[in-house]
Amino acid sequence: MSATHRRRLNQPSPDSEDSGILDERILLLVLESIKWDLQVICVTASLNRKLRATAKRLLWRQLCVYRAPRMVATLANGAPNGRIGGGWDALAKLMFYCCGCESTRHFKLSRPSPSHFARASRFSKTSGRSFLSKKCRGDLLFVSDPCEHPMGEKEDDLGIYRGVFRGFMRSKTRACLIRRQVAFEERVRCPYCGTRVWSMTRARLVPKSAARRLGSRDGRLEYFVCVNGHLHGTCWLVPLSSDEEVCDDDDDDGSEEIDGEAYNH
Amino acid sequence: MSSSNNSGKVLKLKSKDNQIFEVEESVAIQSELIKNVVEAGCDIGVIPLLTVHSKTLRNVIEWCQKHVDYVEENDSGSNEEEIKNWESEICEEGNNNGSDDEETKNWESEENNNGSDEEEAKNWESEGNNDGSNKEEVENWEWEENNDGSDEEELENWESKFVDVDKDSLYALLLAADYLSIDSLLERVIKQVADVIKQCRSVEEVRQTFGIKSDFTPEEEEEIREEISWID
Repeated sequence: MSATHRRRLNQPSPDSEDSGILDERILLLVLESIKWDLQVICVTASLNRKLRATAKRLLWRQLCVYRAPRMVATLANGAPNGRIGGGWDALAKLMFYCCGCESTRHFKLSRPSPSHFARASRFSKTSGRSFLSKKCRGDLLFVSDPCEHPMGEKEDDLGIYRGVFRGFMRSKTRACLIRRQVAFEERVRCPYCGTRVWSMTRARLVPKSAARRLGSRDGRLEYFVCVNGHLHGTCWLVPLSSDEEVCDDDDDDGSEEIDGEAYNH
Repeated sequence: MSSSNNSGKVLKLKSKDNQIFEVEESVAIQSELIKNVVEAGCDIGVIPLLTVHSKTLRNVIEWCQKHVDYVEENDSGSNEEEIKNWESEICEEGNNNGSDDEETKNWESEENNNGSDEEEAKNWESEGNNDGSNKEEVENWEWEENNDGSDEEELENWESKFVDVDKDSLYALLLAADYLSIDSLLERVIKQVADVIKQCRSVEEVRQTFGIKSDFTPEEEEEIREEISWID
């Protein structure tokens, strides 16, 4: 068993305070055996301060690595000391949670659409490229397929998507936003880490390729990027006729399926 | 009940609280740690196990003994002989042209359906094949399944009872299994801990079960509850 061989320490345990379930090694062994069950990690992170800190430092990261190894490897590449903007818990939430949608200035809704646990998600770099304006194409961005939210008979379906930048602090996108002195949104916050966000629509940084990628009508979308490089957005999805297809030309290039269903018991 | 192993060598293990346990080598080397000590030739005298209390060590030895017994009961020479008998009887029956390779080809090939091969197939395919002459082959071949899996089940039940202990004993077992490097024990105890966690329906229940005190303020508690509400 790899855990055993990796973690075998032929030394006495440090002190009795670290015994039992608080012993980090035991925790890692147990959680690994249950494949970093999301529910269990959430509970563990709520038990006491020490475990909350351990979760923040280690457990959420292990979960992300286990569920999306390629994406995490790419993202962590831009994070030298093993940390990631907004924290690993925020990334885990981004991986498994569709944040729903409310009306905003550039995107009006008749009624808000509810957030929910995401059953299965696919994040793709190629997709992300479509969301970067030409001058920012050097950045690396993962974006999910849109999650479809029906809005009733008379309206198109709503598409809600989310994504994450690699190394946002050093990205062209961020440099551009700051150079243009784009103001933060007053009423919107990042649903994943709670920080301030910029509206890319307002910043005029939404390329035409974004709508095409989503299968949406031009101009009928909006997305936000927060200071940690999390992206969340919405669009109206054009109903597809049988001879139309959504552009889907990647898969050789770092798209990753994340199975949320495996966690939902 | 346990047959003595070939070397019959006995090792002396010393617990943290200085109790000496005499254990057969075949039992003790279930622990990779001890196995390494033996293989390095350092097993002269007493092997000190600095972190394992006698109470836990006693249980660990019981686990190892049980697993050695189980392996011996299910892997004894008599079964090997039965398999050999079955193999030779298969070769004799049916389409025997004296070549074992061809024999193999005949019954492995699914496409090959002439009469002689069908008989070959019947000989080793025990399911649905219960005429008298083949019954013995079936029984010999299916020696594992013929136990109704009851030995495996029996072991599983024994293991489940073994790990059904209070949490302090469970931790002690876990740490000992980790230190001594006994994979079977480690896996089983980990599974037990995981099962116990998963059965708890609330954070408070986990705290109670594992004796963990919350050191959050009420505001922090609320904040945390909010933070994880998204998985519901």
